[in-house]
Amino acid sequence: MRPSIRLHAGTRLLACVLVSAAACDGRTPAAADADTVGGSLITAIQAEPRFLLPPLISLIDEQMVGDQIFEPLARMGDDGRLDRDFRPALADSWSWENDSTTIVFRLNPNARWHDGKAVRASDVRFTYDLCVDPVVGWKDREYFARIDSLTVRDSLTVAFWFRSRYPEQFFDAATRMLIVPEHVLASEPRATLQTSSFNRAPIGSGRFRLAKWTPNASIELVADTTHYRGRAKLDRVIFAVTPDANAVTARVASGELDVVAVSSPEHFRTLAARPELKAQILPAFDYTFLLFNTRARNQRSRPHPLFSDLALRRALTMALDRDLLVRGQFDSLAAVAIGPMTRAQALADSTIAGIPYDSSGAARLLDSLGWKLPAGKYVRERGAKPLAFSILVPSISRNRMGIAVRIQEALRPFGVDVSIDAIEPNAFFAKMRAGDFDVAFDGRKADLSVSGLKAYWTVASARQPNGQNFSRYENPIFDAHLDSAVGATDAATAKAHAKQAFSTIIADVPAVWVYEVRTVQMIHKRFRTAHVLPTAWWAGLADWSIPSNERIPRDRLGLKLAAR
Amino acid sequence: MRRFILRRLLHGVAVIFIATTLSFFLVHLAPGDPFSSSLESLATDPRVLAARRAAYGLDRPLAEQYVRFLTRLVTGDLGPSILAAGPAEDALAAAIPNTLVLMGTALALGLIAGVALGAWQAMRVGSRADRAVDTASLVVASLPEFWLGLLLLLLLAGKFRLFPTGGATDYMHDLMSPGERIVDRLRHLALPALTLALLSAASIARYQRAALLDVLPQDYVRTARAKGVGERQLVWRHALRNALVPTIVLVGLSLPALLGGAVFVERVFAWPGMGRLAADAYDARDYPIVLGATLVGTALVTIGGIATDVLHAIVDPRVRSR
Amino acid sequence: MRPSRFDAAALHDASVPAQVADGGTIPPARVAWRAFARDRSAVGGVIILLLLAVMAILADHIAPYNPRALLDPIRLKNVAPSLDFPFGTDQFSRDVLSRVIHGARVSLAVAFLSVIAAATVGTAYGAIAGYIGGWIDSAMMRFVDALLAIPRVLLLIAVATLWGKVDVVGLVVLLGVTGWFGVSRLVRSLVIGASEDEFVTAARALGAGHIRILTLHILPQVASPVLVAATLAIGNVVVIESGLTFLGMGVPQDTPSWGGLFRDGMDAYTAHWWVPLFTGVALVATVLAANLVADGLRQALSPRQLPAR
Repeated sequence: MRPSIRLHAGTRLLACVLVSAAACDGRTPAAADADTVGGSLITAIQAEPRFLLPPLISLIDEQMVGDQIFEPLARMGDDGRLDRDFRPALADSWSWENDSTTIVFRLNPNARWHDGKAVRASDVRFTYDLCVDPVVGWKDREYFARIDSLTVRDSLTVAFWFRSRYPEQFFDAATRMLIVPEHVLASEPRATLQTSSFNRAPIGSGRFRLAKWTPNASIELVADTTHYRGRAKLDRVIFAVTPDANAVTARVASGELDVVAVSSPEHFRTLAARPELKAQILPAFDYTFLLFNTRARNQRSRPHPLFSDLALRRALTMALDRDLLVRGQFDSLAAVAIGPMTRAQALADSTIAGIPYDSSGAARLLDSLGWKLPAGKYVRERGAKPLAFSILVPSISRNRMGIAVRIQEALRPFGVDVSIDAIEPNAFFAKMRAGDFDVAFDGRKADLSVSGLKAYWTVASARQPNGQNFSRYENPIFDAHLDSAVGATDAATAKAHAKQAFSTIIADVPAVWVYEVRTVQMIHKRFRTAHVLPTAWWAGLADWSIPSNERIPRDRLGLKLAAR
Repeated sequence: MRRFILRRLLHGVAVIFIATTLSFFLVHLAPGDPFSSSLESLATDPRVLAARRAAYGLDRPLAEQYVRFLTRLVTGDLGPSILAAGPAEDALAAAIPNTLVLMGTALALGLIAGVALGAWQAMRVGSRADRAVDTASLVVASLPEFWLGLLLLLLLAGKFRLFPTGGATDYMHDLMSPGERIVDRLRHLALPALTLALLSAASIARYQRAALLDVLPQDYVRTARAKGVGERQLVWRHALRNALVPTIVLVGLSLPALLGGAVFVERVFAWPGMGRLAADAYDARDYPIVLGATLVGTALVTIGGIATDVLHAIVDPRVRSR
Repeated sequence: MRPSRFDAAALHDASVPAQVADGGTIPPARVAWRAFARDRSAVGGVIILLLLAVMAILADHIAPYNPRALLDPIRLKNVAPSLDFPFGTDQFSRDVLSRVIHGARVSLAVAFLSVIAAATVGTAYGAIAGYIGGWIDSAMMRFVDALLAIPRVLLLIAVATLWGKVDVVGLVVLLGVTGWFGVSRLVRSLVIGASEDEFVTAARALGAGHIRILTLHILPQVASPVLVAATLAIGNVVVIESGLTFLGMGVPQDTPSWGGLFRDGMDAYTAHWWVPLFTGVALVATVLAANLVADGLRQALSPRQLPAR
C-alpha cells in the first residue's frame, strides 16, 4: 500500500514526456489555418480578481486574466531565457545604443487598443510613470530601479535609459510592464486607482478582450478578431471562479472545465485516471514560507515580543520536521523549500545548508532562552507570558491550511501553543500589509531573476510604509550580497554572490521555508498547447488551438457574444 | 381589516428599526477597528485613508455616528467592502434575488408537498403507511441542511451526474438559446431547492397531520360525515380549510430558520445568494456585507411575517382584533 | 369550546411559541412519566442520548487514540475502516473514531450549556413580562419580536465577523444569547394563562408575595413545556454549531468537533468518504434522538392523548 511511490515514478515519466511535448508545440510555426481557429477553453481560478489594472495586479488569478488582455513590449521565448530569444509583442523591433545602456523599442504601427485607438509611444511613457509612482504601489517597482528614465523619440519609438549594464536589462524593460492606454486612464487620480472602473472594464491591446464579467462567477474573454498580430486561435476563454477544490475536480470530470491546476495528491490521482485529460507538470516556481513578524502587531515601531529574537526563530525551525510535514501533505508533489527560491531557478543553490530538524536541540534551545514548562501545564512560559502565537493562513489554500494543522500538532509537544487564523486572501494581504500578524503563511512565485528579492527582504523595502517587506527583516549584509549578485556581469560571479546572499538569509531565519510545489495542470486532451512558460502556463493561451475534428459542442458556438 | 394591516406594518417598521440599532451597537462594541482592513485594502495612501475615515465620520461622537449610520442606511449605503472591492450594497443587491428565488421555490415545494402529505397521512391515521411516513418525516426533519445538501450533491450530481455540481448557471449560459437557458437555470436550482424543500415538507407534514387530526373529530366535520360526504372530500374541502391556518402561521414563524438553512445550502451548492455572500464575508472579516445581509434578512423575514399574518387574518377574522 | 393542543411546533426551530391548553391541565408527573415510558421511540431516543452523553463524558477513557495525534502522516493517512481503525483515519492520519467520540464531547457540551443558558434567560424574561403585563409586557415582547425576526445564523455570522475569533466559551455564550427569544414568548403566554388560574387568585387574595406566587404556583406549570422546547433546542443547536464550524466560524480548528470533522472530511472526500459518513451518522443520531425525546415528552405532557402513533 504505497501509492506514493507509484505516483513519484509515474509523474517523473509523465513530466519528461509532457514538458518535451509542450516544448515541441511551441516550436512549430503557427499556421494561420482556418481548421484550427475556433473553440472554447474554460479554466478554474481560485479567487475572484479584484484589480485588472496591471500596476495593481497582485493575485495570480489577476495575472492570468491580465496577461491575455494586455501586452508587454516583448515576451520571453519558449526556452525561458532571460537574456535572449525574445518574441515581439507591442514592439516589433528594438536596438541597443550607447554601449548597451540604452534600448530603443519601435512599436508595431498597426497596434490598436480594444477601443480602436492606436497604441502610441506616449502610452508606454504613461505606463512607465504609473509603474514607478510610489503612490500607485506596483509590486514589481523594484525591477525598474536601474532604469534612469524613459524618453519618447516619436509617436512609435521609446528609449529606455539605464544607469548601468546588466544581463537582465532587456528582460526587465521589455517584459515586466503591461502597457495601458493613456487616453483612458490619464484623468484618473493616482491615489484612488483601486476604485477605478477600469479594473472591471479594462481596455488593453491583447489578443483577447473582456466580453463579460459575472461577479463571483466567471470572466469571459473573446478573441479580438482584428488584432494586428492575428487573432487568437480560440474563440473564447472563460475563467471560472471556483474556490472549492472538490468542485473543481467534479466539474473537470463532468466536462464543465477544460484546464485546472491540481495541488493535492488525492485530486491528482482522481483526475489522472480519466482518459480524456492529460497532465502537464511544470517545474516548481511556487514556494511558501511561514513569515515571522519582527515588529509588534499593530505597532510597528516596537519589536515583536517573540519573533524579534533570532534564537527563538531558530528553535521553532529546528522543532519542525519539514520533510515529514511536506510528504504527509503532498506525497511527492512538493519538496521542502530551501529558502526564498526554488530549485528550478538558475541562481538557486540546493547545497546551502539549512537549519536541520533537531527536536532535542530545539527543546534545549527553548529552555536556555528561558521558556520553561510550568508544572502541570502544557504551554511554555517566560515570566508568566505563554509561548503562544497565531499563524495567519489564506483559507483558500487547502494545502497551507493542512500544513498549518500539522505544524500545530508538531509544536504541541514542545510546549508551543499555535492557533490558526484562517482568512480570505484579500483580507490576508491587507493584514500582512498592516503588519497585523504574528506568523503569516505566505507564498510567492519565484521570479526568474534574483533581483525580485529586493522588494521583499532589503533594508530599503523595510523602511517603505507601502512596501512588501511585511516582516520588516533587515540585514545590510544580505543587501550587499544581493546587490553584488544582481550587478554581476557574468553568470559565475552572479551565482557565487547569490549563494552568499541566500546563505545569509537562510541563517537569519526571517521565515521557516516550507515547501515548493510543482504546477500540475490537467488539460483536456483536445487542446494543443503553445508557448507554455514554467512560470506562467497561461502565457501562450492566444496560440492554443483545437483541431476541428476534436471539438465538442460548445467549441462550435462561434464568436457570437452573449446578450448583455 | 385595513387597520389591522396598518398596525402590522407599523409593527414591522419597529422591528426593523430595533434590528438596525442593535447592529450599530454590535459594530461599536466589537474589539479593534473593523473598518481598517476594508478601507486599507482599497487605498494605501494615508491621506486618502484619512479622508475616507472622515467621510464615514469614524472619529465623531457615538450619537453623531448613529445618526449618520441611520441616514446612510436609508440611502442604501452600507460602506466599503473588502470582498467586493467596492460598495457593499452592490454585492448584496446582486445576491438578494438569487436567495429569494431559492427560498421561494423551496417554500412553495415544501408547502405543497407537506400539506398534501399531512392530509394523506391524516386520512389513514394509525395505519402502517401513516406510521412509516411519520418515522420517515421525523428522520428527514432531523437532518442538518448542509448534511442533506452534501448527500444530494455527492449522489445526484457527483455520482449519477443528473444535476450540475453547483452555481446558478452554466459558464456558457449566456450563449444558450432562451429555452436552454430556462432549463439550465432549473437544473441548477433543483438540488438546493430540493434540499430545503425536503426539510420544510417533513416538518410541515408532521404539523399539518397533527392539525388535521385536531380538526377532524370536530362537530361540523362529524355532521358532514353523517351527511355522507366522502372521507377525501371531508379532509380536503372541509377540514383542511381550518387546519391550514396553523400551518400558515408556522410558515411565517419559520422564515428566519429557512433563511438560516439557506446560508448552509448556498455554501454547499455555491449558490450565489445572500447566505453565501455572508459566509464569504466572514472569511474576509468584511462586516459591511455581513451586517447588510443581516438587516436585509430581517427585512425579508418581517415582510414575510406580515404577509402570513394578513393571510391568517383573511382566513380567520377573529385574529384581526388582536 | 375548541380545545387546542399545546404544541411546540417546528421541529427545527424551538423559537415557535405554543398555544396553551385552554380547558385542559397538564397531567401530573406520574401519569406523564408512565405515558412516556410506554412510548418506545421516545425511550429509544433517551437511550441514544444517554449513550452519547456517557461517550462524551468518558471520552478520554473510551477513545482508542489521542484525537489530535497524527499517528503516522506518511503511512497511516486515509486508511479505510478496519479493525485497527473502525472509522478509518483522515488525511492527517488521525483516528476518526476517537475524533467522533471527542467531538461528541464538544458538540454536546456546547449545545447543553447554551440551551440551559438560553432557557434560563428566556424563562426569566418571559415570566417577568407575562406576570407584569401592561405596557411593559408589550414593550418587552416587541423587543423580542424584533430579535426573533433576525435570522439566527446571520446574526451569529455577524457577531463572529466582528469579534474575529470565537473560542468554545464564546460560542456557548453566543448561542445562548441568540437562543432565548422563543422560550421567552412561550413562557410569557404560559404565565399569562397560569396567572388567571384559581390557585393564583386565591394565593393573591391570601396576601402571598409576587415571588412566592411565581415560584410556587406559576413556574411549575411552565417547567414541562420549557423542557420540551429545551430538548428540541439541543438537537437544533447541535446542528447550528456543526454548521457554523463547517463554515469555519464555530469551534476552533484544533478542537475536535463534528462540524470540524465535516469540514476536514470535505477536502477530497473521495479519498476518505468515511470521515463525513460517520460524522454525519453521529450528528443525525443525536438530532433524531433529541427530536424523539421531545416528541415523546410532548405527547406525554399533552392534555389529550393522540390516537396510536
